[in-house]
Amino acid sequence: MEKLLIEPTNITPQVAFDPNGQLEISGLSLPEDSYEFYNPMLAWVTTYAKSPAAKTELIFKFEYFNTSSTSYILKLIKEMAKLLNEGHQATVSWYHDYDDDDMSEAGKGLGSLTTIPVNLIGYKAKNIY
Amino acid sequence: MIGSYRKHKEIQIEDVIVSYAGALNMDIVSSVMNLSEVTLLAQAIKLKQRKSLINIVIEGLQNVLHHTIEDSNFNGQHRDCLVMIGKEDAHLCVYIGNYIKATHIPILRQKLESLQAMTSEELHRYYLETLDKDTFPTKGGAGLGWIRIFLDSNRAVSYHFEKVNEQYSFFGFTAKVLG
Repeated sequence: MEKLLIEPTNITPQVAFDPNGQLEISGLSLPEDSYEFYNPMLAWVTTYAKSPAAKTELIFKFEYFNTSSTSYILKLIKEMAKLLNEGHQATVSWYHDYDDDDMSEAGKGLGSLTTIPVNLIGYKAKNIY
Repeated sequence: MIGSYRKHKEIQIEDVIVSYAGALNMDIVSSVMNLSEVTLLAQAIKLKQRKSLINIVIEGLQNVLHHTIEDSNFNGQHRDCLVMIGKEDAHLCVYIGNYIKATHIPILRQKLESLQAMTSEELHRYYLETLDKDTFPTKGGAGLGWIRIFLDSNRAVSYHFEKVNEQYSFFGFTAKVLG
């Protein structure tokens, strides 16, 4: 299976999904059409889930994301929950700047809607708004 | 035409930090967001307030893009909007204004009135319930944008409709972010 690599733009994040199990989305997520942007990621994960790596980590490192992205972010997290339910190792890591309570709360909120824990990880973000 | 609303609003809002009036697309949303960030940072506005203000700018402007009239009869100004960040009553605020079809007013007014009637806890719960419904359109956030605006401003949202002609009105809202 090939990697899914999407370069960032002024309104969309960097995406690096690797069949070795590291799936990362980072930057700004403000796509005008969230379905068009996120659907390739969901399709990739569906294929990946047929033969996943020994461990899968879905990593989010957002600066900002709009509400229309949120539904697809939740769908990706739920795909990890499915992997876990099927007996595979899967984790979700939600990064937020140490001072960014808003981003931390967003991660908690998403975690409350799924059966997989969303691990909140504080760090010192570069170029934090 | 939108210039007259801008002049009027610049008188009302004190200490205008950012002001844009004109056509809107995603590149302009990005530019307004970046300009807002740089100017708010330069004014040493705390991270939490900056994030709330910029979240409101993002959701408000993307609402304008998703829902404004695409009607060539409206002098080609259908996607003109006005966005300002400044102070009102000593609180930082965002003001966004745009043209809408008069027929859309009742639905929008009803949505805003129902959100205004909710407490912060009820808004938060409603946000999560809506998110979990999994019935999102491909564009737009199924109304989550307005909920987020109300949450980020701690419900300090006011709005107005001004009739332009029989078919169109100008809709503007102010969302305050308390320090």
